[in-house]
Formats: sequence, C-alpha cells, structure tokens
Amino acid sequence: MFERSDETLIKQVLKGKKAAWITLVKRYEKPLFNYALRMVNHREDALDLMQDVFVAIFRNLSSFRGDSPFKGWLFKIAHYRCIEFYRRKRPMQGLDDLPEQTGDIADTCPEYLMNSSQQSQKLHKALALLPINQKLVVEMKFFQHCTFDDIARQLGLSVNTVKSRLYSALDKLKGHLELEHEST
Amino acid sequence: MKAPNDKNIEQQFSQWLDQQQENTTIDEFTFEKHSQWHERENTARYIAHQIETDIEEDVPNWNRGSAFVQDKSPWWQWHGLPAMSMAFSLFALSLVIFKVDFTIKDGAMMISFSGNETIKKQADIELMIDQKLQSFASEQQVLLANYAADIKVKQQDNNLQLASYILNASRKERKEDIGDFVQYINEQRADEQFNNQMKFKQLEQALFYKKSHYDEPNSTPANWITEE
Repeated sequence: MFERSDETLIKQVLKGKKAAWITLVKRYEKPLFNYALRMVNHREDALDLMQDVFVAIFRNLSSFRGDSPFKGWLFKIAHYRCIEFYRRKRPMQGLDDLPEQTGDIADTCPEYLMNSSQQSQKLHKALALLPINQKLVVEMKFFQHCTFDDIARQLGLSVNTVKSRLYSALDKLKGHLELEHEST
Repeated sequence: MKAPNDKNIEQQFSQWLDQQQENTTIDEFTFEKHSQWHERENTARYIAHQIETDIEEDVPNWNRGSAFVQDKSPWWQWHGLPAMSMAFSLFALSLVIFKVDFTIKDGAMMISFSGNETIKKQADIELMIDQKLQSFASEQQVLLANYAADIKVKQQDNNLQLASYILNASRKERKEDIGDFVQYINEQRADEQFNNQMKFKQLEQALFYKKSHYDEPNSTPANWITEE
C-alpha cells in the first residue's frame, strides 16, 4: 500500500488532521521507545520520555523546515529531552559522572528478559554503567549508525570531543563486559 | 615498514568506525600492533554484532493522540472575543452617556457631544421644512392658476357648443313645425276642394235632375223641397 511521506504527514498534521499525527507517531514510536529504554533503563521512564519527546515534536512541528530528514530532527530533539530528563531525575549528578547503581532494564521489564539473549543483556548492563554523555555517543554511533560529523552536529559538539567520549566509552565497556564475563 | 603514529591510527580507527556504518571492510590486521586500538576495535565489533542480533522492544499501548492539541480553535471560541465585546459595550455606553453624535455631511464626518448637534439638527430640519413648504405653496399656486385658466377656457367652449346645439335644435324644430303646418293647410285645402267638388257634383246632379223633371210636369217628387 502507498505510504505517505513524512513531509506529507507533517503538512496534514499542521492543518489539524489527528489521523496523520497518529500515523507519524506509529512510524517512529518503536525506535524512539527503544532509544529511550536504552538511555534510561526503565520501562515506565522510557514511556514517559517517549511521550515527552512526541509532545515536544508536536509543539515544534511548525518550525520543522524539512532541510534535513524528519527522523534526524526527531532524534535531535530526543537527545536534548533525554539529557533534560536525566538532569530532572538526578539533579545532583553531572552528565559526565558515573551513574548510580540502580536496577537495570531486566529488573523492570520481564518481556525484555524473555526476548533478549544473555549477551545482549550483558551489553545493556554495561551500557547502563556509562555516564549519560558517553552513553549518548555510543547510542548514536552504534544504534543509530551516525558518523562522527553527524553526532557532533546533532549534539553541538566538536568532532574531537565526540571521538574522545566514544573512545572512553569503549574502554569502559570493555572493562564492564570483561567483568561481566568473569562473573558469569 | 614504518609503524603509524597515534594520530594516524586514531584517524584510521575513526574512519573505520564511520565506514563500518556503510558496511565497508578494513584490513583486520591494521590495529593489531596497537593493543589499545585493537581492544577498542574488538569492543566496537562486539557491540555492533550484539546490536545486529538484538530484538527491539514493542511499545506498550499508550494514548498516541495525547500530544495532539488543536491550537486552531474556531473563531467563535477566540479568547479575545469576550474582551472585545466588553470593550465595544463600554464604547457604546460612553457614546450614550456623552450623547455623542456622528454626522456625515458633504463627505465630511463631524462628531459632537452633549446633544448640541441635536438642537442644531432640529433647527436645520425646521428651516428645511419651511423652505420645502414655501416652495410647495408657490408650486400649488401656479398649478391652481393654470387649472382655473384651463377650466375657464373649457367652460367657454362648452357654452359655445351648447348655444350652437340649442340654435341648431330650435331651427330644426321650427322647420318641422312649419312643414307640418303647411301640410295641414294643404290637407285642409284638399279636403275643401274635395268637398266643393262633391257639392258641385250634387248641384250638377240636382240641376240635371231638375232639368229632366222640369220637362215632365207633376213629375216632381214629393220630397224635392226636403232634399233641397
């Protein structure tokens, strides 16, 4: 069946068509929810963050000029919202600080436990131990397949800062994954 | 073979990471001589592999239309409408209180307060009515004069027609009367003439009879004198 483009749907949403908005939400809710789930490691929080992102998207939809793909614009907003969410949840913690040891995604989501492999769970546990700034770069690099230039542009950072964060994250992940491997 | 320095190897590693997004391959021995980069390469390969096998979570059911807020409310629900109606009410009230009059005359608008304009307008109206009445009266006088002259002329015509008719009618009647009289006279004369003829005939017969009996004596009838 013919699928309407993002631009067409956005035009219809701006004209007040709710059905077009629902279609747009359904198209991007799954990648956005999984992104949020990986970033906050909590199912309910991920759902809240996803809804928060869609509210922000709707409010700013009229300012979307279509210069870049809608998906990129959506995830750019999602990154900012994610950092805001993180600051709201942990006001005393810096973005480069190591996170506190909280219950991981497998504890809050039994479906995840059923669906994902043991190796995958290990990776998500290791990711949860990264500072939010490094986790964001790993997310964009490996899950969203962005280049260093794209990441730098979206986050408003220099390419060297992005690379530095990614390399630090890789070093930490290696350590966490080895620890996990040894503990199992 | 010269070993690449740290900057070169970092550049190669970042290029490899970027190219990995495009599914291109790189010499697997590139980073082996540099343990740190080799470990990073292995970690990156491990993450990429895990992500490929990872299954994405389904989104729990949620109210997808909750973010959709219709900003464009119908015009009758415009927030400024009550304030605007209030402002217009106050404006109308002030117009009534200060007896504001708007007058448009000869393409110019005049605003006056406290009803001054009403009095002036009343006087203007009275003056205008007087002028109109005077012009109407003069028009009516002219009309009446014309009407009277017309009536007079028409009356004269009527009188003339009547006199002509009467004269014609009496003349005809007299003509008829004289005709009747002449006919009567003629008829009388015809009757007298006939009577005279009859008398002459009788006389003639009497003479003839007398002559005939005159010749025969004693033959005179006994009633001869009576007939006479």
